[in-house]
Amino acid sequence: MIEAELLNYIIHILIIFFIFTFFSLSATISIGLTGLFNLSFPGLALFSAYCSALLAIHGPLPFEICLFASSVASAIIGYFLSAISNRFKGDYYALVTFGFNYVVLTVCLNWESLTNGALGITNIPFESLLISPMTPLKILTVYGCLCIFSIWFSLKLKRSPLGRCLMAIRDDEVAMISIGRNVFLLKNLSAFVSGFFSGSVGALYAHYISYIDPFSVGLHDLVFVLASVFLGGLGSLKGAVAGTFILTSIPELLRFLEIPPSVLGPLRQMIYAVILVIIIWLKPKGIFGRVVV
Amino acid sequence: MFSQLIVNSLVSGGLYATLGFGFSLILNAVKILPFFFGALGIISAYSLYWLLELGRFSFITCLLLSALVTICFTVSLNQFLFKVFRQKKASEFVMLVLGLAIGIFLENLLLMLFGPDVKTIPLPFENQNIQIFGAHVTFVQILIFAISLPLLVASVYLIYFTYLGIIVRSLIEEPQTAEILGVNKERAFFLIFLVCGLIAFLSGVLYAFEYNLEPFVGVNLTIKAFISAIIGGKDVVPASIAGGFILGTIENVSTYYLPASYKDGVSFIVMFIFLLFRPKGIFGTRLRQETAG
Repeated sequence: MIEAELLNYIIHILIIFFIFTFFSLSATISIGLTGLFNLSFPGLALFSAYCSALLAIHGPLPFEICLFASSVASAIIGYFLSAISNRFKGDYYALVTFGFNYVVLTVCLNWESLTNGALGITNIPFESLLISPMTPLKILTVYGCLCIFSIWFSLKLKRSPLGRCLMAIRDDEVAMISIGRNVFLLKNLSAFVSGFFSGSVGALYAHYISYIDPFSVGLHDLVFVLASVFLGGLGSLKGAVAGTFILTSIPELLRFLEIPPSVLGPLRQMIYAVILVIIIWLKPKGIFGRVVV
Repeated sequence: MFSQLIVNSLVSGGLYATLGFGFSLILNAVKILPFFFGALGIISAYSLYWLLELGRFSFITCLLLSALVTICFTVSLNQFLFKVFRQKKASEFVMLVLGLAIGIFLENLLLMLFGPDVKTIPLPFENQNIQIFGAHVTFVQILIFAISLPLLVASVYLIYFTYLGIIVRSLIEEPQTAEILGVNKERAFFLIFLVCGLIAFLSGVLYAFEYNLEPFVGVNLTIKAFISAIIGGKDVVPASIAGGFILGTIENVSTYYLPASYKDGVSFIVMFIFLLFRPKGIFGTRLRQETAG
């Protein structure tokens, strides 16, 4: 009995790790590869979580279509957000994309007829076209496959001509403009791909937990994502995955210390923040990274 | 009704203007995005609450002690963290991430220490309701206006008519030239953080008097401050005061037509309108970093 519980617990941690890997991929593509100070991941994920949940309930559509549709929708929003904020550079870009998180949060909180306000949406169905009963083990397999496919896709993207263009923008934007590349479009494309991955996080999370409220994905996840990307090394996909793995497993160790849950939540965020500060202080390149943004 | 609207706008505008001024001062002169600014305000309010709970000191002593705590904390933040990162020639993005991490850390620390429930600071005087021209005004609201207005006048005086003001403006315009001409940057930053600590203390405590105290109010305050800074004009520090009053007015007028919970959403829409059509703000003279593309 205890073994079965432990197994389920490990499966849960692994699923959460797979979901958050999408976040890190998203951050790696926009911050690490392109050098955009994009902070809109939680907002896009929240948007896509609601999108997917509502499609699954009111559609009712199967999981695969919900996931794909909501990811594409959040990618498109990411594209336009980038088109708006691209007139700024540096910290103002960060501010605008950061502000977007709060737009999504306010809409989700206040559009009560659609999103049920602060109470959130419960009983989100998880019905797949291919696999009928979704046991945790099957969810783990599906999410793992999706995750590996996304990592493979990101690797391909990084080594493709497009990826090299994005990295060149990070290294020397003026040079890219001077050889006639459309930097504006390239940045937006990067935000599109990054938005797609952020969107997948929201949809995967909503279907797995089967509950979503406006505070499920928020500022706390932003710190997690930044910490894992900086820990692994900016611009390194290997590092992003490793960083996510380390940071998802560290707070789980705290669980064995018998800390009350009211302290555990804030403590976890504080640990992420401290790790983030230590990393940018002592080793700004991270574990695997070669670049400093 | 109309006079009530004016009173409410002036009160919340005064709060936002003070916050926006401090935010804009750090943003422009020190070139850090102060995501932690709201958290500083909340720290002052919570320390006041804690000191009053102890019940050992009089109200005025508690006020002075919490001012001391906030100012010391703000200054030591600069001396022990930001100074180190400046000496390491950390990039803008690293500074931004650092600010974000500090903000999240402080808010979760407060959440852990004081719990998520709403706190009210006991006032030493009776919060009477007075009628002026048909509008209901509480004593706290008069206090907010009576403190924020002289503070703002003093701030404008500080920027335009004092030696520190000349240094601040030179650091905003041409940081490198200022340094070549013998401006002691670190000393100026020390004084700026000192002033900002005072501003954060006053706005945090006044906010806690007028509304209630929750750990995550800090993020809200930061957001209001940056919207004020964007509306007013990003590179002119006193312009954020005008921005704060405009933001306060727009929010209160919007509550006249829309449900009050949409207040935050309206302020974001205003921010995005400004970013789209007049990104340099009302009084701004230029975009600090022009995009080349």
